[in-house]
Amino acid sequence: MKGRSMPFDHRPDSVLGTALGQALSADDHSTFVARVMGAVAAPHPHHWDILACWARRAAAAVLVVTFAAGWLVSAVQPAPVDLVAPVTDPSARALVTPVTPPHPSVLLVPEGVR
Amino acid sequence: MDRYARSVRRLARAVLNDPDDADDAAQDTFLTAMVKLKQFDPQRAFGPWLARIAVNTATDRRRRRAVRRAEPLEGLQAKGTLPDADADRRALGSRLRQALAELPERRRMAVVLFDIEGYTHAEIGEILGLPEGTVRSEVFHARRALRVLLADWREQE
Repeated sequence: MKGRSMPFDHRPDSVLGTALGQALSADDHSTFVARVMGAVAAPHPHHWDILACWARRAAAAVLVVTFAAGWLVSAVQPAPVDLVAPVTDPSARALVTPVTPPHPSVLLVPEGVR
Repeated sequence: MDRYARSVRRLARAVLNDPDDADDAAQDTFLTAMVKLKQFDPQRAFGPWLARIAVNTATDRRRRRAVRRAEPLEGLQAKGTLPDADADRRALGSRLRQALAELPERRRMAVVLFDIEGYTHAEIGEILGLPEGTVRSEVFHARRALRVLLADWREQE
């Protein structure tokens, strides 16, 4: 091992390779091969069946989420607010809620004179 | 499959420290390869194509699952007191597996693919999706770490 060529070598290191190979190799090769062959032979569900199963679940989830979101929105929505404040001043009422156009004197006559 | 099973299992073990997980990944590799066989270009070598699937399958498996901590390696404590050559070999294997596990993943894969499986730097670059120069560098650094361990071991024998 010592005194051999640089580690930056383009050839595989057989000593290191053998040691690593032994470290990573498993003994039960034929058992593993039999296991994989069994898995290959076992019937597998068709891809469409799996997708259909997922699609059913996804559709149910979408329905539940939509219903919950709708319920939340309706529960949280505030009652309609009357944007027009109650008006007590008769001149202002004449401006805000006129049935007929107000007389110009409403605007022109000073406050104390009315 | 018999021809490639050993190699695929070794690759899976290099990625996953757990032998059972590695065998599951190796099995998934063959099942995936069967499904994707139509995508294989017969003009190219089969080994690197399968190795790429093996590396990806094992890496995905490791990402999906919580990383299990490796079992304590009995070889580290028992070094030098083991009774026979077979025990020595097993202890060395344990130390090498531990040393491999401590390497960054692509460094580990590069040295396994190069020194065990015999792929070229270019092939390993294809398998791991790395430039050839990076593969050379990864093999270099991995070898340096592992050779120190191996040399220490032999000196103490």
